[in-house]
Amino acid sequence: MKVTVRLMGLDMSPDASSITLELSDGATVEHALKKLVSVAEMPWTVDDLMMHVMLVQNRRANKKDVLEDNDTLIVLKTLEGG
Amino acid sequence: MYGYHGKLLFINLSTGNIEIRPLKEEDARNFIGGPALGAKILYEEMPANADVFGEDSMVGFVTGPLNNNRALFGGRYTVVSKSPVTGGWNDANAGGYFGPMLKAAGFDAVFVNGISEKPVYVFVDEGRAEILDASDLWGLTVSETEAKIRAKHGEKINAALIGPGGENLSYFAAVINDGHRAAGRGGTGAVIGSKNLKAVVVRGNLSTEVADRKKLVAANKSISDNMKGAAAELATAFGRFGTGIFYIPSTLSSDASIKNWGGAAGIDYTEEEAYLVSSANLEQFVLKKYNCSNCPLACGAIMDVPSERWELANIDRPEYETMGAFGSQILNSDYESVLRCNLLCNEYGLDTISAGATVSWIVECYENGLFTKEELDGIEATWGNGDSIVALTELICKNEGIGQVLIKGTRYAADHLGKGHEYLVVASGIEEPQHDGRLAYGVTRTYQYDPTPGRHVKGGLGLAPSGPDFDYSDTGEADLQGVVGTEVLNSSGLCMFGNMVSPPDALLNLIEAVTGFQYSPEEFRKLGTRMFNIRHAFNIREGMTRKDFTLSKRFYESNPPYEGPIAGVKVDHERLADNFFETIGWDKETLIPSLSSLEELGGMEAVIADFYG
Repeated sequence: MKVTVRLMGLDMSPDASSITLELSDGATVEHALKKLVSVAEMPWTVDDLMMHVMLVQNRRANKKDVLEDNDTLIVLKTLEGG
Repeated sequence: MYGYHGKLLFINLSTGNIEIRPLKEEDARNFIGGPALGAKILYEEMPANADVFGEDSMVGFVTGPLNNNRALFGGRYTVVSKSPVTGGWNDANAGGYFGPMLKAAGFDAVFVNGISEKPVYVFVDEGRAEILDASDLWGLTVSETEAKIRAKHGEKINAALIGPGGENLSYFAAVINDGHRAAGRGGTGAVIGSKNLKAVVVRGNLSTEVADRKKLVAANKSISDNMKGAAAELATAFGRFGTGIFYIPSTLSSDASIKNWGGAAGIDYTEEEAYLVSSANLEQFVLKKYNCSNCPLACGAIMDVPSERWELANIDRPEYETMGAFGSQILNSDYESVLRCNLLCNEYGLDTISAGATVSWIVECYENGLFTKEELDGIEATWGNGDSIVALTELICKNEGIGQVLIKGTRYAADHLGKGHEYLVVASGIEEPQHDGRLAYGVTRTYQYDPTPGRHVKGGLGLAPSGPDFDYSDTGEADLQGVVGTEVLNSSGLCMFGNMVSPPDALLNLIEAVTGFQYSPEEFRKLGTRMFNIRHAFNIREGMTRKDFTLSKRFYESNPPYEGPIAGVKVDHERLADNFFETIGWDKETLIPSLSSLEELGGMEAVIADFYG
């Protein structure tokens, strides 16, 4: 399945860093972020990213949440939280 | 005394008496400045249960030791008074240049009571003060007033003044300096207006001595290095976009209000709509940036915005709170209308947070059939209707039509009009700022039980979003630590955003360098706790108990149809409060601090005498 991950940072760009990943069915948010970190050059680890508010389908996302085909995972890098 | 003049100015507008009294070093060390020092003075100078608009009501303009001492980010000052909304303590702070200039005029603070028979302003000039006629200033907007004052006294002045909002006793009247810096919340502008006081104008070149100049230079360098290092991304973003950097992510996360706190983030108000109001979109209109005193961030901006509907030339970029208040809160993506409302509030001297919330409330009421167009002076008050939002804001600013009721805020309006209570979102009558407690659970305690309710710049567990594993069992200590740090910050004169890009020890290093005051960790804890308690004591002396600190449901419980990031959230805000009261040593029903806790703090003799005889 395809999942798009968007990192929305302080640069405010509407084209926030966005990458579409190919994941196995049943992949979780954590799987997506691990794949992201492995394929894209970025200064953050998976744990760094998971410290922030994450949204999928306009709901808060947790690392164990299962993703669906064509989901967009948004990581709001301005909002650190649980 | 380093960092202070050691002088407080007292003015009685009823008698015309002007008096200079010493600032005791003990008070400076125990309360630092700003809201805490202001609370200490007002607690001792004002009688209990004074009429908020009466002669005994006192208003203060209080600096911090970091004002005018070359400390980076040391530009904030505080206004203090009783609040016409809560009937209790109020303090509000602002940046710009007024605080440092008040210091340069020779005083650590100015306190004004009494009522003048006719409009006046106070002129503080190099250690002296006069009460001058303001009959030609009364009724003028903020910029008109400032222009006349400068024409009379020259350009090297600064002024903290009220607009027609304060003159009309709006419960959310602000005190404005530098044209757009607002000590906005809680209605101190109305208290000033009730005294027929238009402005405090300051001028001077008097400096105070710094305890350790080398240490100050080192502290400033440490801040600069941090801004280029660990905080580089945040510092750059603040400088480029201002506080509006939070707007888009906050409207997606539900940090910001969506549809009067009753909507779903990302669904009722989309990212595309948020972008239109955001700093990213407004960047195309920016002419130049501006900063506060000694601030290297320069998060302010002046813009020229082409508009066929309104004059939007040479205007200020709104802050995050204003974007949310007039934007996402009212499902409004018409950025011209948000800018127009910001300008109107600055010119008429009104707090944008409460003004936007009041418009939002009346819109929700209208959309639910509680009001007709005729009742709203022909305005179709619908969600996202920029023209109507501006029209309502104008009526409030000009105190006309329905604005004559709305000018006193949502709770007053609901009570006066006899409807709409179900759509109120207030903490003890104060409208909620743009940080949702259903996202950051701990802030519900701050909103409900800070001595100034409904305020996002007060301390506690903070604004970081809570996760699914939020643990209620032991929040008291962390809550109090948050309070302590923020109390000291707010009283020092340091800017909160500057503090965000500074290393963790910057605040203490600056205070020590300027004043010579050193605080061990235990003394620092006592310092912040004492500051919080003196503000709280003002409320308790007014007879307030736990039941008087109320919170609308939308502060802590999500709404149907339960969509979006805060769907299903219900915060146990009273449990957070119980934890906090236990840690700080307050009785859970009366909220009276225990005798032992007050004695341990020191500096609370007047409070102990009142509460324990």
